[in-house]
Amino acid sequence: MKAIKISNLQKAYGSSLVLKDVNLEVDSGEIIGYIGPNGAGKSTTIKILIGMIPDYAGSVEVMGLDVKTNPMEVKRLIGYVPENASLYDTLSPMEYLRFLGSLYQLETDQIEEKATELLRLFALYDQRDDRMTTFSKGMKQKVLLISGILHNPEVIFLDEPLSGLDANAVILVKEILSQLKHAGKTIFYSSHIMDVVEKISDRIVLINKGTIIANGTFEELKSQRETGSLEQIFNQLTGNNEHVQLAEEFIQVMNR
Amino acid sequence: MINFYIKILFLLRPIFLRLGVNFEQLVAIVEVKLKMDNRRARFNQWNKKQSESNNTLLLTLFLYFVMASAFSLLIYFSASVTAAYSLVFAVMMFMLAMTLITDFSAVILDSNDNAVLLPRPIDDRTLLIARITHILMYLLSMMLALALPFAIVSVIKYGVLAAISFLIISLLSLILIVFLTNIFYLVLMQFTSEERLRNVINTFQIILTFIFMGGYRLVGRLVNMEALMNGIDTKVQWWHFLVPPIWMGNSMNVIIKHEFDSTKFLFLFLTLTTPFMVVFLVNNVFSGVFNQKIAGMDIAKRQEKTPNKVAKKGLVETLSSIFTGTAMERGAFEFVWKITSRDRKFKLRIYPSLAYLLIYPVFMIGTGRSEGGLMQQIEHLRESTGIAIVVIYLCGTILLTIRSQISQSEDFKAAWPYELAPISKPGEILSGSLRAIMVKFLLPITVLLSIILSIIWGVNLLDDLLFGMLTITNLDLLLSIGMSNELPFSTEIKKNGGGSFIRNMAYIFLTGIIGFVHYILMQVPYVIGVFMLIQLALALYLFKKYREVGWEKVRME
Repeated sequence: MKAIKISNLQKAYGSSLVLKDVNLEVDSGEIIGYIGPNGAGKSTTIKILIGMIPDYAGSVEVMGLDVKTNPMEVKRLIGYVPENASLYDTLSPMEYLRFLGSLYQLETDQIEEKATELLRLFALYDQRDDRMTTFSKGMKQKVLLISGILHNPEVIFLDEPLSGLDANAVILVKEILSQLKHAGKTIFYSSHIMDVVEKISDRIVLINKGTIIANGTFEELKSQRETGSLEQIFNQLTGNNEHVQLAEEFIQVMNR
Repeated sequence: MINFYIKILFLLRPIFLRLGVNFEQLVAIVEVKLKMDNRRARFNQWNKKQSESNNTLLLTLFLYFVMASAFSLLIYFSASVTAAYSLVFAVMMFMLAMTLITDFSAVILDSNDNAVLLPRPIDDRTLLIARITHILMYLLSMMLALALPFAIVSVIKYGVLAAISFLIISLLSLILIVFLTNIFYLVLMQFTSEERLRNVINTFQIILTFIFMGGYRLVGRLVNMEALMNGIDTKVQWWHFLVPPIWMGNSMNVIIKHEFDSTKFLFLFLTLTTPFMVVFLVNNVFSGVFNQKIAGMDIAKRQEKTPNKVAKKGLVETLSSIFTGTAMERGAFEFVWKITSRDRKFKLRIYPSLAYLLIYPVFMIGTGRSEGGLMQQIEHLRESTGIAIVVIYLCGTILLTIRSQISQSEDFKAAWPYELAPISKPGEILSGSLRAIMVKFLLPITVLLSIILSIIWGVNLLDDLLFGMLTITNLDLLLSIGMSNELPFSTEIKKNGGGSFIRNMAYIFLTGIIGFVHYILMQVPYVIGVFMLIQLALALYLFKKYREVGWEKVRME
């Protein structure tokens, strides 16, 4: 059974086609780096996969379940942390996690025990009963990450999960991701930070203008192109190759 | 509309330059703020529909105009210039102060634009004056809408000079109010540490709003009605010098009647000079402090001394396990309970009207008969059980007040987990939320009422109380099950009540009818007792139904 199976997915907002015929299969236990320029359709794909956008054309399955017909079962199996997500910061981390856990109908004791342990691992144990109004972005991001995995999901969608985290937390999250993979969880990782994607992903999927234009391991992508880093491959595949000239013009205009 | 405001700014350019403000920066800031307000309002009101005019503001202005028109007859019929104008200025200043406190404190204390504005080369003074000017633009439109009818009546009754003086003094009163509010905040900032500032301000806002609400009702009593009608001006008391509307009323008297004596002259002097003194104070003494403090409010630092600890486990968790059935209901119960205790904006929206709703019956009972002692008054009250019914249903409307606000939050963007989590029946969240509101607000009020009713009318009205509260609950449940719902704290804060208007009207209308029917039914013995049991059964059934409400009855933004 595939963890994720997307076939002939299309999605239009009004007359503009955001996703044109997307096809993708992901095995269980894979870490997928999902990259693409701004506005390429990344968030839309993820939102469809997690059941937040129900009106689309084509078929989308998560853990063998059709997202359109079994949205509740799918939602139970997935975890998601949106990019720059807001949270109700007048609550304390424990209270927030309690509330989110209750939305997944988890037992209160179980939520508390897990949340306490996870907060301790993220060095937030002493702040677990403080209101989050005074929390930094990184601290909030840690709470959000916990909220995304509290119900032990099979497939985890992460959108820029490292933003705002300090270097220690980044190392920890990366390690957690690889441990999760070993535990058989599937991770769908979306980011603009290419060297992280390059390092942690088993497979890299590149989307541009609503179509997947590359899909393979980093080595496969590299062998197709001459150039070295993922950043450069990204730029070759999606951008115009005029960045040097553009940068020069930029400086010229600034100096005017 | 924005262009009009900007043109006014350019007319006032010399004044701004005199204040030492960078005028180009000020215009830029004010213009962009007005633009953003305009779009926000439009988005709310018309649901993404594009329309060029800001209809919300115009409608409010029109309502003010109509209200003031009716009120302006007072000037026409009153024989006492001082009393009539004092009252008019009091009402106008009240309206403006209320708008300022409830809607625009957020604007004055806005720290959202810190990230954009503070790193730029804008001096403190320009930034503060720009913030104040932004608010002044709105208040100016409101002031004009309010003042025009009075000015017209003034022309008819006392001539053009009186009308022009009236408008000028109105303008001065506006400046006075805006800058006084500022000073109030600034002084407050001196006495509280930064991290507590918002909380303290919130408490003060609630108290102030309450005082203004009560004060508004008292204005009529302060000004002697007889004097108003017969033209006998009351003697000047020492405290008149503390009440700006009275200075202004007296100033109008000086202008219209040409009565010069030393006290009247002092009033005129105060009217003309204090606004400028206040502007001077804010501009020269406070502007630096103000922005520093606002900048400080946002720094996300953890306070080692006063961490905002919350109780680990306590009353709420116990209550939630008693009053809820499912896990999701329980989560929503605790969530709503806690946020309603902590969200400052929510408290500001709810508590003044709540306090007022509780005080109102006291006013009502108190104003009925004034002769005789307390015991005699209670004797009188006993005879009219109708008042008891009105009090019961009035207190019951608290449920409506809170229910209409519970879906709104500044943090509405944090509502994304509702769509993500496997919630097959959002009704569970809705019912958990309703249970929290009932236990937290309606239950204590019912207990309090039952004591008061027992003292005055005896225990035989307790079944009426229960019947009333159950009926209101059932009404709310029926409307909620039938109409569209919003999940707790999931929508943007609406200035004017927004989409729930029809629901609220239906609710008030039905409550009135039910109260009336109740009054008729209670004339027959035992009927209410029996009906109460029926309502109780119905409530239990409806709560079960409410839990089943599906996504098709829920509106998300």
